[in-house]
Formats: sequence, C-alpha cells, structure tokens
Amino acid sequence: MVRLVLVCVLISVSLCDDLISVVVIYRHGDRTPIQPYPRDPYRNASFWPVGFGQLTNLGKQQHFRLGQWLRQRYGGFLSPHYSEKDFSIRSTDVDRTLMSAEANLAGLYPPKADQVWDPALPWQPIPIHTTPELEDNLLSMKKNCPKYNSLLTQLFKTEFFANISRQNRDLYAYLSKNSGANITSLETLEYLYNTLYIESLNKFVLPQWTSGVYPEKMAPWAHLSFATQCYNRDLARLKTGPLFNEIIEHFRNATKKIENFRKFLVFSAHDVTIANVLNTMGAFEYHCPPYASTIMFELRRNSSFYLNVFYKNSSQVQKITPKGCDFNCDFDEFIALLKPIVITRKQWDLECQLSNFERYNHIFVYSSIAIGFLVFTLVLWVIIAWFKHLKNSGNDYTRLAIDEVA
Amino acid sequence: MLIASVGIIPTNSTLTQLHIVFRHGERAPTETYKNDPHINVTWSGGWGQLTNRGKLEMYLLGLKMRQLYHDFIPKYYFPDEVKVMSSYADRCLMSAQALLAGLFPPRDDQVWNKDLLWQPIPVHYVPRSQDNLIAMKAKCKKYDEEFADVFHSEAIKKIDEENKELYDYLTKNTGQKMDSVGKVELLYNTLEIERLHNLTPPSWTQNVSWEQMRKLAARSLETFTETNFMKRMKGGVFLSKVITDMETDKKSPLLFLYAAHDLTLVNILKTLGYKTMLKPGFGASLVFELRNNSQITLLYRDDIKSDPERIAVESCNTPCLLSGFKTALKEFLPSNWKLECNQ
Repeated sequence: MVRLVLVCVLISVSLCDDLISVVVIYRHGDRTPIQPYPRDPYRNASFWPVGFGQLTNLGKQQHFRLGQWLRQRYGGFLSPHYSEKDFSIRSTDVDRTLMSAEANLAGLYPPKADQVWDPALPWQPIPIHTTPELEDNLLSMKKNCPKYNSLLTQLFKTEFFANISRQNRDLYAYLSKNSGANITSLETLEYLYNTLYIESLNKFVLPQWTSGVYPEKMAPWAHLSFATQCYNRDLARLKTGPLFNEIIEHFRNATKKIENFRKFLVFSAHDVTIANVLNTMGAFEYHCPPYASTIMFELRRNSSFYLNVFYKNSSQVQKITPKGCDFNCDFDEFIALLKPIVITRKQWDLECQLSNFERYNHIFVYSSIAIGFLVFTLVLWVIIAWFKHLKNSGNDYTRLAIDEVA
Repeated sequence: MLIASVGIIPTNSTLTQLHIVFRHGERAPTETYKNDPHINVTWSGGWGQLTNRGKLEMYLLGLKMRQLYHDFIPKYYFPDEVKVMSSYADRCLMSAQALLAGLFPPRDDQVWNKDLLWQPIPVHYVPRSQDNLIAMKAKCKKYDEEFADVFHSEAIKKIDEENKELYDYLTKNTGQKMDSVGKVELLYNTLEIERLHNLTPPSWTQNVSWEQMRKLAARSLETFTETNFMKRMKGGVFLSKVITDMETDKKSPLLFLYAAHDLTLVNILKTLGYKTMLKPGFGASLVFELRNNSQITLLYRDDIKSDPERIAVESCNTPCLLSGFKTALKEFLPSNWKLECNQ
C-alpha cells in the first residue's frame, strides 16, 4: 500500500487508476562518433578507446540509472523478481543498444531473494531479443522498402524542402569543403553535427572553421532532420506503423486480459526511433533526442481503458498529448487516431515487396514496348527489303558493286 | 612430446584464434509428461529457463576459460576482438551473458560502476527460423525429407524393436505414447532434471534402466546427423564458418563464442567424425584452437566439470593443419546451403 501511494506520488498524476501495462522505448546511452568526418582532427581511433559508435562508460551509467529510475517509478507495479511472463525486451541488433539494454536491466532487476545466484555479484542475466538490422521491420526499420524510399525522395522535392536545399547551398558547400565529407542534405548535415556534438561533449577543441556554424547555424537543420522520416502519414505508416501496431496489440491483449499478456514491454533503440514515434503522434518538438531519452506508454483503467504517454528527455518527465486526443487518451480513441498509420509487419512486407514488383513491372512494360518496337521495325525492314529484292531481281548483275571495281 | 599427447592442453603462447561453442547451463524442464507427479512444480525462472545453478555454471565456465587462456584472451573487452553469438533461446542468451560475466569482469578503465564488477557485452543472434548455424532450425526441405526417412531405416526399426518392451512400459506409466528414441529423449531429459532438483522420481522409474533411456536419448541426438548429407546440412554449416574465420587474414576477432544446445554439439562432433554416442551435459563445450594461423586442436568437454578430450579428425594427423582440416572435411562443407536444401 505504501508502495502504491509512493508510485502515485512519483507519477505525479492526479489520477492513480489501475496501471495495467507499460511500454517503454529508449535511446542508447552516451556513445562515440559513428564515423568521424574525413578532415576530423579526432579521426584517429586512439581518441576513442572503446571504438567508433560504441557505448562509453558514461553511457552504461546513464542506462543503469535509468533502469533504477524505472524500478522506482514502477516498483509497485512490476515485480522485482524477473520473469519472462511479466517482462520482455527487444533491442535493435547494434552493440550500443544491446549493451544499453543490459546496463538498464542491471539497474531494473538486481537479483533479489531466490534469484541471487552469486552473492558477490548483484547482477543477473536477462535475455534480450533482437533481429538482424537489415531484416528488422519492427524497430530498426533498416529493412529495405523501395516504396518508402521513393516517398521520402518525393518529400524532398516538395517546395518546402527544395527551398531549404536552395537556402542551404552555401552552408552545405562550406561544411563539405571544411569537413571533407559530402554534405548535401539535412541527414548528412546531421551526421556531421552529431560528431561535432560528441567531440565537444568530450571537451575536444573543435577546429576553427566550425566556430561560425556550430552549433547555432547547424542546429535547426539537424533538429529538422529528425522530423523528416515520419514527416507525413504515408511515411509514418511505413516507418513506425509496425511498431505502433505491436504496441497497440500488446495493450489490446492487456485489456482483454489474455492469459499471456506481459505487463512490461521495452524497446532499446535510437534517437531516430524516439523522434519518429513522437512525430507519428504529432507530438515531436524539433530536437535531437538525447542519450537515454525515454518514451513511456502507460495503459490505465478507471471506468474504461486509457493511455498516458510521457517523454523523459533529461531528468524531467513531460506529458505527451497525442495530437487529436487528451492527455488521458481513451484507448479506443488512441487506436482510432493511429489507425491510418498502423500496419502489420506482414502487410508492410507485402507493400514494400509490392512496390518492388511495381518497379519491376514498369521495367517490364517499358522493355516490352521497346522490344515490340524493335521487332516491328525488323519485320518492316525485312518486308521492304524483300519487296525491293523482288523489284530489283531482274537486274542483279548490274547492281553488283564488285563488278564495277573489278 | 608430452605436450602433444591427448588431453593435455598445449601452451597458449602461439594461439591465434579461439572458437568456443558450448551448451547452455542447467535449465528447468522444457516439457513435462501426462502422469508427471511434479507437473505442478513451479520452476523459479519458468519452464525451459536457465536455473540459478545454470547461471553459476556458466559464470564458472567463463572463469575457467579465462584461466586456461589468460595469455590469449584479452584482458579488456573490445567489440572487434570478441564476437558472441547465441541461439534464439532465452537459456542460451542468458548463458552467454553469465559466461561473459566470468570471462570479462571489467578492469581499470572499463570499471563503470565500482559496486558492480560486471560490464554489458552484446550477444547477437538471428531468429530461429533463419538460424542454420547454432540452433540449426532453419528450414531445409531436403534435410527434412532425409530426416523423416531415418525413422524408416533398418537401424532405427531395429532399435525400436529391441526396445519395444521399454516403450510399452513407459507408455503405460507416463500416460502418453512412447514409441521412438525422440520421445524417450524428451522424457529422459525431464526425469533427469527433476532428479537433479531433488524431486523424487516416480516409483515406476525404479524398474527401468536409466542408462538404457540415456543411451536411447543419445541415439536420438545422433539421428539428426544420420547421413553424410545430413551432416553437411547441419554440422557442416558451423564448420564452414569456423574454417572461413580461421582463413581470414585479419587479426581480429580473436575469440568467437557460441551459446548453443546439446544438439548443436552433437551435430558438429558427428560431422567431425566422432564415433562415440553423446549426451552432452550442461555447459559441455567444444573448443577450436588455432595456433600460428595454421594448426588446429579440438577439445571437447562433456559437461562443466569434465576433463578435455582431444578430438582427432580422421586423415588430419597431428598436427592437424587448417588446410588438411579443410580437405578432410571437404565432403561436409556446403557450398550453397539453400540450394542444396532444395529451397
């Protein structure tokens, strides 16, 4: 009871209705740059002893603390005894997200009572599930989808984005020249911005050329780049649709009290995942989601089921109101709201493969026309030649050029 | 000369690469049977999950590997030097983590929490339906056809006939049809684990030979690599990977770890030509040592406590060189797995 009250205080929501189920999505902790830029003074591996794109000790600490924080927040709800019946965690298949998840679990599930297996080590192994990145159409979304790619290309051709490209031409040229990288888009700008950000976090002195552009000039474009992947409904459908489908199905099972529904579902992912999920709900304020930033979906019940969404992007937890809903968003309303973008992974595969087929179909149609034309020309040529041959068949001798030469 | 003799681990000084494939630690039963008196027992972690003893076994295996190969396995964990792969199963993922806790306790700069001398290390895996390397459960049509034929073979028919009395007895007492080596294997595993946990076996087990059941279970594990083609489609995939990794010019990774199942070990050992029937215990391991980038030594431990047994590959004499190893196994190394599966 004391615990429950404590939880209510911690949640700091006036309502403390029954918490039914929770879905958490977080970004990995502090990492090294994924790839330094060609003229980076810190491109030598010796500057980054843990390797490129890897979680640092600080990153491990951030996630360990986040795990402890989650334990505190959900202590009365989630048993301290780890059980795969209550809890499931999935990560993208990347070292830093897998390691963040492990560190987080060390904070969330220190072994208690009969789960202590080595009294000297307050840690226990917990399975983290994953799928190879290029096959992942749930979380990493690196599985290829030509349809999505062409939708994104179309987006960048719209007036708004074409204007930005024009407007940034000088900036891109300046950045390209000085960094040695090919900066031609918001995305490539953001990569560079991110590397400079990490280097400044590590107290590395940035090269002189950055002083006029980093961070102020680059920041708004880096922030905007996080909004592009789910900029409209069609894009969101193919980017976060399967994940929202999974979240909604998970909660739906919880509302139906289906036997094996889990209380707690966690996804360990990336900054883009955080941005895309918020953006899909129409609740993304342009920014770079920081390390260990976390979205929490809480399914609650009073007279009916409703959802609360929170975003923890530092020590502060903010309430997120899905666009078109109240903060206490009726679960059915939430489903209705997201219906246009929700898609099963099967359907996603079908649509993404179909678009492949359509593309090949075009190629097929064009090549058929081309081949048809070729055949037609050939036939026509043969007929003409044959008629000519008939016509000229009488004076074959005189037509032989070789005779004339001879 | 002593160094080269069977069962003695040669000096570490020239090691260049190490592959360790191991069975997970002790687990709870994956299934029960109809008349199981312990059907309602709650297993702390859940059915099929790694037990506390299993976690400890794996941790100790990690410590042991550190002790055995301390000159070779780097003191610090670096992702490009160590690759950890696992089967999809929770118990394997957890076993890998626990082993790593023993093998790579953080030191110096890698200590990130002074109250917790453990560090996160990524464990990768591919889904069960795509895994032809560790769990070896990826669909292979032609293999499945051959596997089905095994049960109509004279050899298996003979075993079934010889054990008909046992099958009938087990059928009567378990309350479910027991008519194949596969079914005996599953039952034996459950009985053995229950006994390990001090759950009194039902009285009918007193009139049955546990050794006979154990042998049938081991025979069941062998049926998965009954023919050369079957070996090629199972153990051969793993051996191909080991050879490819050993052939690469790159210095890293140095250490490959594979968290696997008893069947994985049997499949690999049978493909290597190992003759004895096997029923690998929890934490059983097979180590492939590569020395001077050319010489292969294989060491098998039948469970967590066993002494190593040197595995000799026929027609690859001591020292067995990588090139000779590859030649000796040529027949078993698939060139295009999917194609050969007829998929």
